[in-house]
Amino acid sequence: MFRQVAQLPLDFTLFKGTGTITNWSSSGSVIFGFGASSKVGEEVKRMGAKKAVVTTDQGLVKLGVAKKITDSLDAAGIAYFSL
Amino acid sequence: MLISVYDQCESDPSVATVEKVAALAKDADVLIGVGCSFNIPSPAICDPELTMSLPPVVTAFTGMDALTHAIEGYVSRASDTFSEALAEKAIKLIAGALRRATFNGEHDRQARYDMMMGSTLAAMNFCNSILGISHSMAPPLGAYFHVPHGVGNAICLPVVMQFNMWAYPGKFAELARLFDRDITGMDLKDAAQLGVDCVRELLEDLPVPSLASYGITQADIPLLSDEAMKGGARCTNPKTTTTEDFHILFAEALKLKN
Repeated sequence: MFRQVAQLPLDFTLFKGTGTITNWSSSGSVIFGFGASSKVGEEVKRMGAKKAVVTTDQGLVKLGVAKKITDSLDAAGIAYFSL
Repeated sequence: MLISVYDQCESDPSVATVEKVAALAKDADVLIGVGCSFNIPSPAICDPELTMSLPPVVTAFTGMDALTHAIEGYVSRASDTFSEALAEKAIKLIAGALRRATFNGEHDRQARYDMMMGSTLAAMNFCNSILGISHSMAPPLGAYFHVPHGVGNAICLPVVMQFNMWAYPGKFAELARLFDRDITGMDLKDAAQLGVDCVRELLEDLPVPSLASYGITQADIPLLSDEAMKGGARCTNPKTTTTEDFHILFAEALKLKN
């Protein structure tokens, strides 16, 4: 379901130079900008997931930040439970 | 699955089993980084809108945390050209936006955007080049005195930079340029010192609480230093460190923001 991403360079080399082979890796994609959180549902759906876990806290629930994420999941028809 | 715990290592990270990491996390109230390829997100979604109403103090110390990621990753012994390019842009964005984001709050959308972008770039940098000893000093401050991670890093960063300056003076001079200072014709030493001073001045301008306000005194330094010696990021810090170094660094950090 999840895209295979490169191995993090945990066996990192100190003083990487022209004599070393560098393994540089990052997340598969970065979705960035004002309102990007509305894309959460769409992205989760694209990964083929049916259920999601939302990890949050009381403060974020009170401020309506968590709701922006759950609204997006609702719109995409993804079931979720919150922690 | 391989999980590395960067503890007590100078050059060679010890490899631990999953059980060891779980045990560590259970016994100690310490922030422990757990890194493995399964932790890399497939997509990362970053929305500056969610930070618009963040209060000034939280904006200030989380922003300084992002700057710490950028700078420590930039001068790390494991840095590479990919990471350096990201770090340079991250530092430039944060240097230009952190004061505005802190004091203008929700009235400055561009500053919030730049901070989110700077913080994202900084994280893409340090995940590959690892960090420095500010990230060995902040976790024990959090564990024993509940100093937020960002506050610990904000206070330790200028002190750690001063300590590390002579390892890569060229990179510290470049920092001054990224903070929009003119270093043309300057001595390398003066330019590098200016790089450190830019961060010190930034910290002075921001509403970050002092370590003393969390009840930390000189008497706590030996304990904090012993814990910092266990910090993982020591192996990629530009300079090697001893417990005595941490005594001096914590003493310096205690003087800031009072």
